[in-house]
Amino acid sequence: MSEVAPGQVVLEVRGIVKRFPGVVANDHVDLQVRAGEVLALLGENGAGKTTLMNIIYGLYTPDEGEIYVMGRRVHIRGPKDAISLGIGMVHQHFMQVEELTVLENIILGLREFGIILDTEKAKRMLEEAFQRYGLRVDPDAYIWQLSAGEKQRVEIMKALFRGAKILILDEPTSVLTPQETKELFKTLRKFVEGGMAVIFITHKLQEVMEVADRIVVMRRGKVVGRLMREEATIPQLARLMVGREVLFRIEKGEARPGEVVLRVEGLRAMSDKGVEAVKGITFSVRKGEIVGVAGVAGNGQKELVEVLYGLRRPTAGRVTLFGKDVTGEPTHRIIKFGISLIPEERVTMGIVPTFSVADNLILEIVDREPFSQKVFDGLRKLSFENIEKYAEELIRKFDIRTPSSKTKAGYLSGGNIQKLILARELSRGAYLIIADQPTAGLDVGATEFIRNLLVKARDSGNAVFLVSGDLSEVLSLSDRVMVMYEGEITAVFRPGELPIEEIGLYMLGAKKMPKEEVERFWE
Amino acid sequence: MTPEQISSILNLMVVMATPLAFAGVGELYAERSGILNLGVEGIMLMGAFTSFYVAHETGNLLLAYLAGVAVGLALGLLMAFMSVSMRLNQVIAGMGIYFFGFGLSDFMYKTIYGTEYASIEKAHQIAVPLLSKIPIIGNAFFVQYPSVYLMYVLIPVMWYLLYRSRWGLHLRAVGENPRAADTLGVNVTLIRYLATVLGAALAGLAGAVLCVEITGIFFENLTFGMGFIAIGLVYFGRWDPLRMWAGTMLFGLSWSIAMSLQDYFSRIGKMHWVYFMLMIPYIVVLLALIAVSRKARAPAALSKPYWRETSE
Repeated sequence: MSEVAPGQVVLEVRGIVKRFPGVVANDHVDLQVRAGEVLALLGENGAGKTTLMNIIYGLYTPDEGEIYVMGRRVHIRGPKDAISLGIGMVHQHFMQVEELTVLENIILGLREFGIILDTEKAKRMLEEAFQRYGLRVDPDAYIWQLSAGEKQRVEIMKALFRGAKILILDEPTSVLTPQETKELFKTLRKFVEGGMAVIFITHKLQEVMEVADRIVVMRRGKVVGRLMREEATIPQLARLMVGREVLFRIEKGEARPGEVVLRVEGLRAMSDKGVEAVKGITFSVRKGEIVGVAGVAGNGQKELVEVLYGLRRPTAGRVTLFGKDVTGEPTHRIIKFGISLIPEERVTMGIVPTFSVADNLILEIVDREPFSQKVFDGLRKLSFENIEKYAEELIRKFDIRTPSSKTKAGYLSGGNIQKLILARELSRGAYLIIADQPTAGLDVGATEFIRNLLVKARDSGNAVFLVSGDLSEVLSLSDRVMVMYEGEITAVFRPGELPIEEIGLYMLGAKKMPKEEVERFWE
Repeated sequence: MTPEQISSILNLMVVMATPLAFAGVGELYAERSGILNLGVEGIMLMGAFTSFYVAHETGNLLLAYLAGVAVGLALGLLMAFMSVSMRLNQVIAGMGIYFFGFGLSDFMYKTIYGTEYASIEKAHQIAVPLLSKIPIIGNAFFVQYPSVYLMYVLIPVMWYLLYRSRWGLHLRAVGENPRAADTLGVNVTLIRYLATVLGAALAGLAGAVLCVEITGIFFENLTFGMGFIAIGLVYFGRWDPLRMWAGTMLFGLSWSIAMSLQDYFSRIGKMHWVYFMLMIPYIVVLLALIAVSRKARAPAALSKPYWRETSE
């Protein structure tokens, strides 16, 4: 691509329509991107942002509409066409081959290094590119060894190495720490000063205000607003995005912590890869409080949750519930002891997608009265009438949007599946609720609803253990917070006690509180 | 044991390993691209029958080898069409190919030759000048059938291509994460077709080798499960051609030793032991598989069809 003047329109789409079975993902979308600007594409999940970008990148074929690059009409039949037009995309879920090295991932698909790969030449060119763009990752490291921030740099380099002048980033900050996010924004500013165009897809309003020059808001497949950053305000963007007024507030009063419900001492556990993922951690959760775990994904949170719920055997340490030792108990007993889990893997772990909503709601209590009734000793039968009644009640109480209680749970939207799980887990009389990434991937409305439910559970005397990759969620919901880094607790505090930059340092392992201080915090 | 006996045991080891190595490295390539081809056994049977037929009719052994390759190619195309284009369940598609090859090879043999005893002039072992004069090893490795020499070259070359060439990189990427490869302009469909067809062609060749070099005749189920052993050896080799090759030698060696023991037991008249010995190679492979199975990590996209347009 030849040099372009700043402000020149480099990419334009007109009247793009894309239908999937049952939905119109893009409904006559028009969009212009100029050289030297960061364009933020704002919208909730399912608004059609990613679909639109996949069309521009050639992954989807549009049903209608035209695409222009540098004023010329183009037909993009696949990523190969997009790449040769100077379009690069950084996907939300990194498109990387974990078992290959950084270098191999970056040169994948390129022809210029010969049939027998000239890795020396490739490495030399890559080092030059690292220099030029001020990014660096070890070219010989395997992807699975990298942190999320490093993976993202690889992803950006993949695009730049192919000469991308139009860079699309899909929800790039969802996996980053505050520091890494800041770094990324700086890098993006540098790119656009160099004449590139950046399309930044997000649903986070704060980020839009921080990094964008121009903002396009999408809702239900349509563009509903185009603004310059200077003329935009957060409430206005939120209204455009959601289609109604949004309260950025969680109804949350003072916590009234009671007796200790869960106590964990010196807990250790291995990951699936056979390395120690939880390295001797100690904490406790009291009745009527929310304890939050902050940290970058993959620092042992998953393994910790699995141990607490009996899905993974600890290698050392003790877990007690109301003083009773439950270490290493199997899951079905953990459930009976009164621990609830709202799992990260909503569809695969949280529900049985092919079962009805009603059946999913009574999964763990199907053997209790009045759902199963005694016929004579040794034989019980299910009462579908009572199951139905119970399901109808929960659907109403938790506002689960479903055509009926007989609908298969897999057909519900993400937010409604999550409401179903919460309805089940909060209604079966548990003492401790473990919520793992409870709002990840949900839209603003559902997120608001679910956060308020967790606070309500706390206020009614439950102990809540919250694990979330969304730092602002941890800070706004929790009464006490612990930061996990590489399987250890690196910091403990109450929200408001530490500035966000410092929390970021603990999340990255750059700073660490002494062990005694951490343990004293839970006394 | 005399040096001659050791040499002849090793010689038979290499002979028995050769068809497995062809079928195995072919399957390895297919699996590295994400296609699990369980039809290897059936393709080998069809390759064996076709090469037997061509050798019997023309007397030209080179044509016989090529016929085996050709029929493998055709069946590979069928497998690729079913699993890549139609996105069928690969286990079902592969089993279909197996039963098809098993039944059709036997049916055609019986239809064409009936109960008549048919045999072909087998290929001869060729001595390599100089190298064949090395004590023990010379006679074992360098007085061999033509396909053995092909194997000596082919497996290292395929290893090299897999790890050092652009195609090999694309192949590995497609088998691990086809979407990532696709987003960089790698043609997932083409690579999976090529790998599957190449793998099946090599399985066809393996069948031809069995018939033309080892048995000289055809009969029902002539492969005795070697196609499935080849699939097992891919796991044993943890998807690395050289490790897989070592596995074929292990199978070849246990087969060769079992044959020697069979001779011994039949000489002293203990016939039940003769049949028992036939089981040894399979037990050895089973044990070897159990030993390495904990470390084996299959290509992440193995047996998963790829579809570019899915709504997320």
